[in-house]
Amino acid sequence: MKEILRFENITKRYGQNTVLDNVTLSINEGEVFSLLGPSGCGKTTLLRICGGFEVPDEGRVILDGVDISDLPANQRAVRTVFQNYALFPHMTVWENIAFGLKATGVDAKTIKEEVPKYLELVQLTGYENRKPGQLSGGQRQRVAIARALINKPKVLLLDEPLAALDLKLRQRMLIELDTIHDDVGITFIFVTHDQQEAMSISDHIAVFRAGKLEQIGTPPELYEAPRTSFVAAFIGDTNFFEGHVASVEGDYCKLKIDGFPTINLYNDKKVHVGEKIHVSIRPEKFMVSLNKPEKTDANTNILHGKVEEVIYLGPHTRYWIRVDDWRVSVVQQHFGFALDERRIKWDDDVWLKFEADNAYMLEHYAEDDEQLLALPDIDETENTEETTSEAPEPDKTEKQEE
Amino acid sequence: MKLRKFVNWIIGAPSFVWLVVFYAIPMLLVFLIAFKPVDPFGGIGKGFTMKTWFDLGNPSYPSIIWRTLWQGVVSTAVCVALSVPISYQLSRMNSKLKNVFLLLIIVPFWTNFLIRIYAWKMFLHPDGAFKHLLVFIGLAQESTTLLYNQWAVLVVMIYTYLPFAVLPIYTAAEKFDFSLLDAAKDLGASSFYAFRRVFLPSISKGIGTAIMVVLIPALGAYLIPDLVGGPTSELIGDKIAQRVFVDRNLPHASALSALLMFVVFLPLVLTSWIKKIQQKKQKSE
Repeated sequence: MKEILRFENITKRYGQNTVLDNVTLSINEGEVFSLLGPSGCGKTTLLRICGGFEVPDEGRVILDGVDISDLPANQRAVRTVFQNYALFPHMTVWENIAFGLKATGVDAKTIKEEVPKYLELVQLTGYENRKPGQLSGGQRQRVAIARALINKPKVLLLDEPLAALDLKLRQRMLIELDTIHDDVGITFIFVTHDQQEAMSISDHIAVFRAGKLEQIGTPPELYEAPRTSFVAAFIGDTNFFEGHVASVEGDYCKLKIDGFPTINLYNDKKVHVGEKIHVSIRPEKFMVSLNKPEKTDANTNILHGKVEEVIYLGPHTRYWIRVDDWRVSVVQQHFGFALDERRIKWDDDVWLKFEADNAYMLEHYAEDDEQLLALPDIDETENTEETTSEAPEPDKTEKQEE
Repeated sequence: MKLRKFVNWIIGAPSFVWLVVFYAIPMLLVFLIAFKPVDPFGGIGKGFTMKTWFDLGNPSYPSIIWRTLWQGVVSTAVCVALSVPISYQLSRMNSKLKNVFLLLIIVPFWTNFLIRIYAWKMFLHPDGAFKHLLVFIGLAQESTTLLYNQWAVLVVMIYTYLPFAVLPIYTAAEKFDFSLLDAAKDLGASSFYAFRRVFLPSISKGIGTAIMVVLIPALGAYLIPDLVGGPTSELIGDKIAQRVFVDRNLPHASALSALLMFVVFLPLVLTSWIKKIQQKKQKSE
């Protein structure tokens, strides 16, 4: 795959505050690349550096093999869809879309041919004489996209493009964005604080935290193999366990956890006996049952616990299950439905089963990241600006104070 | 709904009465007096006559009217041209600095208008410091007069009316979303193109107000040309004042005023008419 854009050692400071700290990343041609992170993590600053609205203190931006660090915004082959769309209110939809062509001196005949194509691309044919004030949020967004695409940029930058829309519309626009991307084939860089948006649209995601790049990967890589507790907690929900390696047997090891049964783990980080490590286990990796399940293989973990909370959510149910001193968050998909089924209820004694391969060792763990694990009823649909700071204090995997 | 209409009417009534008593009726009187003969003692005679209107054919008038228009338009244009960059900068300043500069713009209003004009007279005086400085640098001869010509009138008019132009344009610029300029540049526009095609249209209402607020008093100005102007820089305002105070010919002064009003109204009516036609065209498209 060909590289289209590269950030090299980008550092940006505002006074004492380092907004971006030595960020290096590479984006392939034609992909949707997301910059994901809580607000204030520097992702928008990186986008503005790419657009030419901010100058980095250190580092270079390389577009298609050419260093564009010193080019002004109007000479870069990148276009931005701004968070507030920044449509020109005194111009009609047609004039807004034609602006980029007019400003760069394209002749009137070409403009007349091009604009209808892009109106059609964003499904706004017939709206060309309206002013932005007469459009809905989703329509304004589409004008902004058409306006940015008409110059055929090498890269399209989208700054939180869906943040201003309501949930239903956000989902529809996400699909539409994906369709538009397939149609034009231009590289999209998508800035968002919403991990679901990023997961559903991206080929690759770069997760940012406090100006630093935490991890780059495909959505499944980030979800299944998070490098740090921040990535594990920011993308989806998880359980963290802390323990010491008790023994290593071949590719597997045993982890001794205080106040919890010893569990078998796949030893992908090649840890040694006595090392203190942290693991992340996603809630859906547990199988919950009333009867003791069979082991799949020698390393399958079987735990016994008591149900503390049941939350029925339609497609799945969320349980909080006490296992010794720990509370484990479990999500169970509903595969079938039988009226006479004996459902798992509060205070039931249950069995938990998970494979050793499904617990993932973290390279870095910070206790603060547990605050990102939001309570399920808040996490499911709501994604406010401040995902990090407003998340309530969780205690489902924390060791209970005696 | 009826109550609401009534309340609206009550609220609007005082200003309506004010406008009728102090604006509409005096204007009508001015028109009426223009059709009256003058009486030998400087009052208004009996009966009606068209004589005053024919007197407007005075050969000195066309050049004075032309000069009035020219001075008004130039001073308005300069005021607006200066106000746009001033407002642009003002609205981008942080609020502390902005308040200081706004205060500096408003402060002259706290000083009497006459005193400010006399200050200019001293400044431009043949023996004034500015003149001596110019001579010293070599930009002027000892014989150059800076005062009592139409350039002095123009400079003082621009000085006087500039704040009137800055304030409405600043108000419009203050509401402008400066991220639109970023967007324009992002789309490949040069700074100047973005300024012309995005910033200027967005503050066009403020510019329109500024033009009205400056052009109308500039056309009627008489104190400034009277004090810093010479005999070759008389404006129509001076003529009206002369007819009233020197000649005691109120009908003639009224006719001149009516003419001036006509000159002011004509472009206003024309522009609003053109705008209406354009809007109709847009709607039918």
